Amino acid sequence: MAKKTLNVLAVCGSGVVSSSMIEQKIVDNLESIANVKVVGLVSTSVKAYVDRGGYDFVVTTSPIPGEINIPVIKGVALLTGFGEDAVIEEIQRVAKEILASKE
Amino acid sequence: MGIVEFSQDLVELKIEAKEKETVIKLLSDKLLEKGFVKESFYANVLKREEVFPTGLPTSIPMAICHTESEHVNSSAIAFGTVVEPVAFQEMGTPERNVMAEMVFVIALKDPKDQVPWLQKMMTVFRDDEILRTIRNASDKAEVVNYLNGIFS
Repeated sequence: MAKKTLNVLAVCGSGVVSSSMIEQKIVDNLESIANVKVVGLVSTSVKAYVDRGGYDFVVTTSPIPGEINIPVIKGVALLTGFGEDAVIEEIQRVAKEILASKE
Repeated sequence: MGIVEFSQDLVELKIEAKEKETVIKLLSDKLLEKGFVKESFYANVLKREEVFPTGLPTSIPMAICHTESEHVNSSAIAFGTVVEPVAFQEMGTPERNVMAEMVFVIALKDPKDQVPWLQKMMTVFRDDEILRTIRNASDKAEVVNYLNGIFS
């Protein structure tokens, strides 16, 4: 069976540096179970992107303004390495739940 | 394209500073002098830092200050260490402070070009020995060589 696609938003305060850093981490840890498409984004744009639809979950290094109706995972640990395993587990758990709901 | 080189012009060791603004200004001015960033860079790094702080609770705490690419002419990175740790708010948890012992001021024009380089940055953050080596550096040429060696 073909792998399903996950559309993920990688978010930081500038949309430039730390979002780019965590993008590859997200791909590396999900590519065995899905086609992963990651879009890097500034936190102030997240609500508009999510409201437009088509995104499955968010991994962020910054607080995000507004109410977001998809899962939001705090990703600073992906940068520092401290607590990284727990974050990766959470990403994989959320991803699997979303993939299961797409069955 | 892909590689951002460290250079002695963009490094300052053992900065005497009580506040983060002093460190960010000094390093931003180095980037400005060399034409890597626009006049607007410093003010916008500071503004970003207030809203979306970049202090990281790594084994030796640090900050990775940056802002939107519209304030950048071409990619470069400035680096500094401080005599006394300086308070930065923690990334993702602004109500907490980290006492940073080193500061990177990162100017990126197109992060897509620098993704492998940014990935290596993450290697640096989590390697205690690398962090200790650069924090303890007392010679600009040495630390620049060392950093460029890690990132090559």
